[in-house]
Amino acid sequence: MEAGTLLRPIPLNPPPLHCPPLRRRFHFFRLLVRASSNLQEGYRGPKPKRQLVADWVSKNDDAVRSLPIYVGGVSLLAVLFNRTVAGIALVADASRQVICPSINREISYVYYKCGAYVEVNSRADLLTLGLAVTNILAGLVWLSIRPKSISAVRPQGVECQRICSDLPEYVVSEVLWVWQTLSEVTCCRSLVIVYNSRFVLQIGFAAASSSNESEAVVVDPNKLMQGSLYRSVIKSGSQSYLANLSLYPGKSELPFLPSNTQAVILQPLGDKGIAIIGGDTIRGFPTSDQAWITLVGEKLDATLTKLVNNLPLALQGRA
Amino acid sequence: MSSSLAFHSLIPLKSPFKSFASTLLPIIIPKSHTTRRKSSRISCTNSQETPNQEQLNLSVLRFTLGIPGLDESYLPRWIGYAFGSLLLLNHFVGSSSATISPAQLRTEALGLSLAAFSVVLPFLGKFLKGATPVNQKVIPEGAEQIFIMSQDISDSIKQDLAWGTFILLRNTNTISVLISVQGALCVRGYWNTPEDLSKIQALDWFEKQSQQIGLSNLKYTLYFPQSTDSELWQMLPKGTRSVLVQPVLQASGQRTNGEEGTIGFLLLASSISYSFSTKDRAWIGAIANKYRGKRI
Repeated sequence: MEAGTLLRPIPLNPPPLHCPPLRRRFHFFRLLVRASSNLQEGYRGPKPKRQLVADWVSKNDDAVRSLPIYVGGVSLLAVLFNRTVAGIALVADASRQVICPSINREISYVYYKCGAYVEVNSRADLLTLGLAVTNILAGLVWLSIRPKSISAVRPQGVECQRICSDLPEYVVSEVLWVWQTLSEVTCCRSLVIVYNSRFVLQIGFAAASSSNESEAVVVDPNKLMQGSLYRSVIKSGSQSYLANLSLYPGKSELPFLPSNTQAVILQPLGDKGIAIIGGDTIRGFPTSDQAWITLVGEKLDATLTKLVNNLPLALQGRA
Repeated sequence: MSSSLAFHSLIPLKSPFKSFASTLLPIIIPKSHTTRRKSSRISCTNSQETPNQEQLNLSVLRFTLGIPGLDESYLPRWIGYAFGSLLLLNHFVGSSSATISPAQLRTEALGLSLAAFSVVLPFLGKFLKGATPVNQKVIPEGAEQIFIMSQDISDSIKQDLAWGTFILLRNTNTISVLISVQGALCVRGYWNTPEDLSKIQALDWFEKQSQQIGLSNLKYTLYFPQSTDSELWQMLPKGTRSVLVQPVLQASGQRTNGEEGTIGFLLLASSISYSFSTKDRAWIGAIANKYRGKRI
């Protein structure tokens, strides 16, 4: 009944995913190309160019967002200033009338010339004003889609790593890979996997048990499976995302998660199991992460099904 | 190293997971292409900024014309082109050259520079945080969809490779993917293979191509967000814009001489430029880690 624990070392962190500075890498490749003539060694392909604009925009995100507004505002003022300096009326006045008919022709000719000149200038001004307004609006749109930055909340609890003891090597490496991926790429801080009424994995942060402050609360698979959260997830067959766990009354069914877990994803593994992923940020799992987790869950289901099919029947009945 | 290789349309797997191994994966638009809403709650931004924990907040007020299929982030560009050409028209046709005043010249200069700035604006906007990718994946013409895998490997590795290629095609903007780990090869998607290549020779051809470029010697991830003109990338279909090469490094427990060795690589190509965001690349690196400890 009680899940055995097995201490396994967490594998070393993989090397960082970022690309090193271009100069160093270019030097490195140069050495390779010079030193080897064998087709097997050295990379001979193209090297990626430095993305100056992309880097600059990413670094100065706020400034770039308000840049169009400043540009548009300044050019708006410049256009108006230009009109006043040039002596043209700020508003093209079409209602000027010449009253005396006798000199009407000459004056109207003069007005015609000035009017045409005013017209051309006004057209140019209007177009420039239109462009300035477009820029201001674009800047406003950029400001409005600025992502809200939410800070992570450190989970309250103890770190633990419990894996069911009689799992074969390939299952253990698979679940550890899932944990490593989720903890590095998403905001996941706790992971619990229950499959086929058996406890499989509890890793990451967990609530401290009341009896012993340094031990984590034990996951009870049967109690979990009788709860409404599990049953609704299995019935729907699709992932359930609780973006802000404190708003859900079903929180009481997950006592093993740290009490201040912010977001939870309940991923059903086929129709026999569930993976509970706890995160440290409210709405911390964007849509893309949810899609990835769904597919990772399917793979996990395939692996665990294979395990279940290969187990002798005696072990399967054990709760 | 690689002996007889054969084309398999359906890999018989004992597990119930046949969906990963089906031949032609229809290139599905990934679900992560966010839908845009007309108007929702207005969001207030938080004053504190922790760059690592940013969250895409999709419920914002957006200016949109509501025409489906029309993307408004390119509107400044079209307006820039239109108004700029109108300005030029106005300059040359609307007035005789004798009466052009300096004020008008100033205005037109200002207007043209504003038009140029508006044209560049969507390009800058693409790099802002929270920008959604605009274009859909474009299927290249003339390239065929293929799915081939080495045969002399165990079933579980085959399943892993099939799943890996499936998930990469499904969840990112990739249209072609190649995974090579310790000599085992899996190719899926649209590729520019030579005509009439016998199915047995196809994998040999891919292996030769990748060895020519030397892809298995990389130690770091290579990301080409815009199209490269190198003739070494012959096997990629036409219309490829971004390419990502992710090496698979040896697991720490298997190192014999204390150095980090590369045991394989993942090659992904897409028809959109700047298609792999930072998050995408993190996930791709995680998928590559899956093949680290495998013994083929």
